[in-house]
Amino acid sequence: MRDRITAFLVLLPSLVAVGIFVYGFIGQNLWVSFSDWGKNPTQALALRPELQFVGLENYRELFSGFVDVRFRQSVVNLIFFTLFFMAGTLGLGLLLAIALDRGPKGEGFFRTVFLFPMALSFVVTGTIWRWLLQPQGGVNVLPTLFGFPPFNFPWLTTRQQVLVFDWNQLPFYTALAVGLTLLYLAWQAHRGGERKRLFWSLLSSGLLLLWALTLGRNIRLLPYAEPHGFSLALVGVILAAVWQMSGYTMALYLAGLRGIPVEILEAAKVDGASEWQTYRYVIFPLLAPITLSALIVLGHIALKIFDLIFAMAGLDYAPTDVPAIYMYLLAFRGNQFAKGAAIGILLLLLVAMVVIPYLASQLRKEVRR
Amino acid sequence: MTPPKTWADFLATCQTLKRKGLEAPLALGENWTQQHLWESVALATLGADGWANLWNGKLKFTDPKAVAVWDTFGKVLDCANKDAAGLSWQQAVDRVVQGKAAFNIMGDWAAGYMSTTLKLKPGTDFAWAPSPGTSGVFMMLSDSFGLPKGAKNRQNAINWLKLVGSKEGQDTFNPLKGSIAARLDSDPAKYNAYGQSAMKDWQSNRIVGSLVHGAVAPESFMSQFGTVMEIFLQSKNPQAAANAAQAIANQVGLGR
Repeated sequence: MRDRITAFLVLLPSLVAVGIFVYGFIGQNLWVSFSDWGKNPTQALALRPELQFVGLENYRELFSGFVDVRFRQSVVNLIFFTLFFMAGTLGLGLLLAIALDRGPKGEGFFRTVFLFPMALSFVVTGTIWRWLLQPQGGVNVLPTLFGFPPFNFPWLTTRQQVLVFDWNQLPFYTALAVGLTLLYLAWQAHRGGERKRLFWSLLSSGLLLLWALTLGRNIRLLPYAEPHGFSLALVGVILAAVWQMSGYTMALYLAGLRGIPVEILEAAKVDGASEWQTYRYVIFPLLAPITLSALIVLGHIALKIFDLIFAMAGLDYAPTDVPAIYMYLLAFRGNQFAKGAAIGILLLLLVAMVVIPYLASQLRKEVRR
Repeated sequence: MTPPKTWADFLATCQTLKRKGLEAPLALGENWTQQHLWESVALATLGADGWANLWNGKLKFTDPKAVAVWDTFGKVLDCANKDAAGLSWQQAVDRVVQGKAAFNIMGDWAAGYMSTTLKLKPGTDFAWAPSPGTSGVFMMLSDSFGLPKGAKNRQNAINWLKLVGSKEGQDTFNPLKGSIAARLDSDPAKYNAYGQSAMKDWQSNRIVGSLVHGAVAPESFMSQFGTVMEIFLQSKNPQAAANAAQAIANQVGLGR
């Protein structure tokens, strides 16, 4: 009993602090996002602003108000950035780890070299890469060293977009993506022989796809077509981010590779597995938990990215905009606190979507143990 | 080459230069320098009165006259370098200095950069003229120090303000930065040829405020004007930009 009281007393300060400074402020932020703080310029910077409750108005404006076209592009940018950044970092990190695991000469040296970019802050990385990616210099003149003509890609300065779609089609595409994911889950359940799960995922996926293909196509968020797509200016940003973080995934994978018991590999060899088969059926499955942890860490870095883009392209450049940048812009330069808070909540939800399933699965595992 | 007097002149000159092989006659930098260019086009297109009316709410951004500003601005952009977004204002000035461009629309500080940092001689190494169509109008901004309420060292703060505001203080700082004093009694001998010419204009011209440098509109409008600029640069649609500008103006209560 006394132990319990001591434990409670020791935990109390941090409970209170986390309660106020994390959950309290999340709550306050949520309230601000439902208010009109910033709509009335005389109230915006008042010491005790009088706030009106406006419900989801701020969210509606972000997704379908015509001034906030930049927010919508920033969401599209964020999705593409996150996808390519995670794929690039995981892929490059895995390749580097496999290369180093084979014990080349100077392994320790290369390991340090590859890991070193992670020691830099994103601001340093961003500034260096901004210089490297100047259209007239840096990376573009690299081929001339070997007698080739220089590259002509304008990197960060391009406004070109590919994979362009109309924002009005967003509900359709979202429903399509979620529906297909559910369909995949249903297939998994079918293979695992879980009938209840199969039924529910099949039902919800079917309903969603049906809705997407019939009513979903006709929903219009905006009275006009608004094209958004993957802006090519992001390629440079992704390059810099992958350069910085792939050393980190390399370190994770290297630790994972070193942790695989030699017996297993030898058993595979005895069974006559080729090199590729060893990787495909023995090593990669054993690395899966590491991939998951790396995905979580990289995912939340990508979703909250701010400093790298700030340093590379500045605040006022829509082609590389992400919600965090636009949030800062709205709240702290435009005094649109309510709208800024709404973006903050949306970002929180996005990160929660990545982190909570992971935490839940970890917890379940611990209980099972 | 004579500096163009109007934007129509400018566009004609630009075509000539392009034909002679100069790819981008106008040097331009990141977003705010584009806004700086926009306000120079707007001042020329709307005139000093129209410009003032934009800020007191009498002229709407969606007025055909104001939409026309974006039209001209778009044409002017065609004369500028395509990698503008990646350049700072200094790098844009550098393009002119290196002969890769003929013009750059910038404030006094560009003259300071060229004479103090690059050691060029005003009048011989570089020349200047009012932005097309704004002859006789001086677009102004000022950097200022404030005295906060309840300042801890009030007396020292006041002493500092007195020093920087004095003729001596102003005449020490401004020639280096390339700016001029708001005072009318500064000593022209301390300034270079550009500074002297700017001082003459300051006394004789009509004075209007700058948008991008925060002299005509509240911060809440100004900071979102960057977004309007991005909307235009992305869509190249004058009406879309004008609508967005007006929506923000309504929201922040411009002119009320």
